[in-house]
Amino acid sequence: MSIEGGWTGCVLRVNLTRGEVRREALDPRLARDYVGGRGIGARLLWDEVDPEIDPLSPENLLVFATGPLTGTNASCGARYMVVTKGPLTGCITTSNSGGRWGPELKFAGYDLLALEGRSPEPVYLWILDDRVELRPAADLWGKGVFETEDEIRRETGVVDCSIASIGPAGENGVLYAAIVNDKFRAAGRSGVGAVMGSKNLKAIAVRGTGGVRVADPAALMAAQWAQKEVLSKAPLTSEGLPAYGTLALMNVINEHGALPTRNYKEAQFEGAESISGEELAQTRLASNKACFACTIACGRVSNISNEGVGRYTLKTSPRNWHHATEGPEYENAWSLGADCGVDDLDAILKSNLLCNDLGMDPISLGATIAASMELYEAGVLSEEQTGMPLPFGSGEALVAMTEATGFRRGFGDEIAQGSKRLGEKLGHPEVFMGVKGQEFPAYDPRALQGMGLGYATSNRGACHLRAYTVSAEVVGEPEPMDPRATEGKAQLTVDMQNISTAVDATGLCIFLTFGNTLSDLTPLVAAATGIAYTDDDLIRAGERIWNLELLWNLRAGIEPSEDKLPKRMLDDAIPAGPAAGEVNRLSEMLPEYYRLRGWSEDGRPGVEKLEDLGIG
Amino acid sequence: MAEVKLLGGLRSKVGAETVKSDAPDVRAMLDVLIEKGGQALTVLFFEDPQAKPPMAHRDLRILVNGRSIAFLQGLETPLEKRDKVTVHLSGARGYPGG
Repeated sequence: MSIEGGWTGCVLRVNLTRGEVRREALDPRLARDYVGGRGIGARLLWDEVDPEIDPLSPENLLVFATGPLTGTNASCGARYMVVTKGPLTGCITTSNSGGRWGPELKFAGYDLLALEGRSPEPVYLWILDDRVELRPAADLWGKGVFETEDEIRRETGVVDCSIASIGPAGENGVLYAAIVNDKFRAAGRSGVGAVMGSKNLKAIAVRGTGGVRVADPAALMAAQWAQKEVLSKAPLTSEGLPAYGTLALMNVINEHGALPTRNYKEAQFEGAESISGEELAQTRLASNKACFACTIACGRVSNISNEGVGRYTLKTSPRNWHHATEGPEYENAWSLGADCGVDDLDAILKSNLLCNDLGMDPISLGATIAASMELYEAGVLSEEQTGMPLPFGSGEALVAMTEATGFRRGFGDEIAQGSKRLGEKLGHPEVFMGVKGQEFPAYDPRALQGMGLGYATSNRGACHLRAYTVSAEVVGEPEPMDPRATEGKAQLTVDMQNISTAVDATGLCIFLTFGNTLSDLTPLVAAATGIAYTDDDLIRAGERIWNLELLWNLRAGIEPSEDKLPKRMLDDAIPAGPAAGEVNRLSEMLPEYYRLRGWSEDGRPGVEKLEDLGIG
Repeated sequence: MAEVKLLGGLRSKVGAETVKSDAPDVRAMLDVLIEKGGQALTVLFFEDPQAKPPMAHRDLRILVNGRSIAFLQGLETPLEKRDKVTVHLSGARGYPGG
């Protein structure tokens, strides 16, 4: 078997301890069975990394993995996946980003970049096709993402290179530090930026002058035209997302009574309208923006209002910009907004801007600030400890704590640990709203039963992207399912986990599934690779990857008993709103989920299952 | 009167963010919106506006007190004076994953 197209067939390996660069051939069978991105990255970790290692030790592997459609003209073929052991969770983590970085890595001739060891000094990696070198980065250490990118462009003289870097948060070991590329696109979750920082690697700049060879160019052209036609006719991908971005969900989820508010104490936010997609579009939106080859363009380019600029000045003066920023996406606006009780869009924009520049995941940051606000209002935390008043609703506190956390100054040093560790340290573990150490995103699982199962069983800790049951429970696709019911949610979750994992492996953006079905995407993968994939083949690949990730977690000591939700979600009913009185009924869904997965009653895949999936 | 909240692009199409309605049910409430926003709305609200009775368009999403009418009585869902109605257009296809 040989590689015909889609994949470049080359894995770039860099040993940071020794400063060595080498190239390896990609195993074609591995590529076929695990497709790419999340799949091949997970397989590398399985083969090479002891799951029990300290995630911030040199023994951790940091993988940047593209898929066979990354860099092609398939719509939304912009994605790369960062795969490593996550410091926030201890789980295998797979964190995805768009922009232009992934395609550039492919154009330079590489499917994957695997980074081993730890550099003795700060460095950045410069890739220009075959030229691969580590360069000193002591002068960049301490700088934000924006300045880092500008400096590297000046130094290399290649202004159109794409750069993935960390900010101070990654350098300082914030446990949910992100890797940010193209200034505003991020592999955000689980602390992948802290892993990069632990390796003394400030940035990876890449420019490729090649293309992506595909097995059947005519078939790929036909398939991508068909794919794009579907996207251009689906109202959400042709009108809704370009006009409002994912922030369109703010009012929708709030109207359903499923918008977590003030650290999940409530499920409707009185200030939702003022931080909604409609409000952003009317008052602060400069433009929408697309990643490479995307025909949806859900990105937001926004302005902080003049009032907001004056109100939220910072100690770090280079970050007091008056001009346009990007975002916020729905999840960020929720975590920095409703979850903290903040209804000031300027404060959210400012905090979100800082998350990009300092390199942090806004979901975990906002959720940890929200947990801190709950403890402050309960009298557990004093102003002496926090350094300033920290009530729910304070935009000033939100922005100040965002800045303090990136630099681990003052109380920001505590917030940098995430809400699970913060709550445990202060004797109040009940304020952690998440799973396996990672904070929930923006959907209350008491109002949306399926999301509870999706969160609990996610391999990387709480995550909405692994099984977006919101599509059936709120959006009504592929068919409406009662959000308050548990019936059918186990099957829905299994199906969505497998399909989402498969899409993640292709190098496509998961958002295109708001328009395309898997059947629109399979011909793209087949045409690019020359392998006659069927829909079932890709779903099976998704299942294979999911099981492998779970096995890795089991070896890391993450037991199925961690497939659980916080007590607040199970015992404390939503106090008011459309879903008043609801709790999540996880116990009604989890046994069926394990059965449908073909696992034991206690959530473990058996030998027969693994052999069936071809996992050795 | 029931308060009808419009979301997203429907606001500009109807020309309002909220509308008061004393319509007895959801179908009649949609007629109120059409009266306010114009006949062009009929193709957004109904699969076949000529059908008797018309079926709700697949992209139309209506909540009554936060509950989808898909789990109530559809377009025949009765409205009371204190009801809060939400109307928006979804337009998703595919099999969303995120």
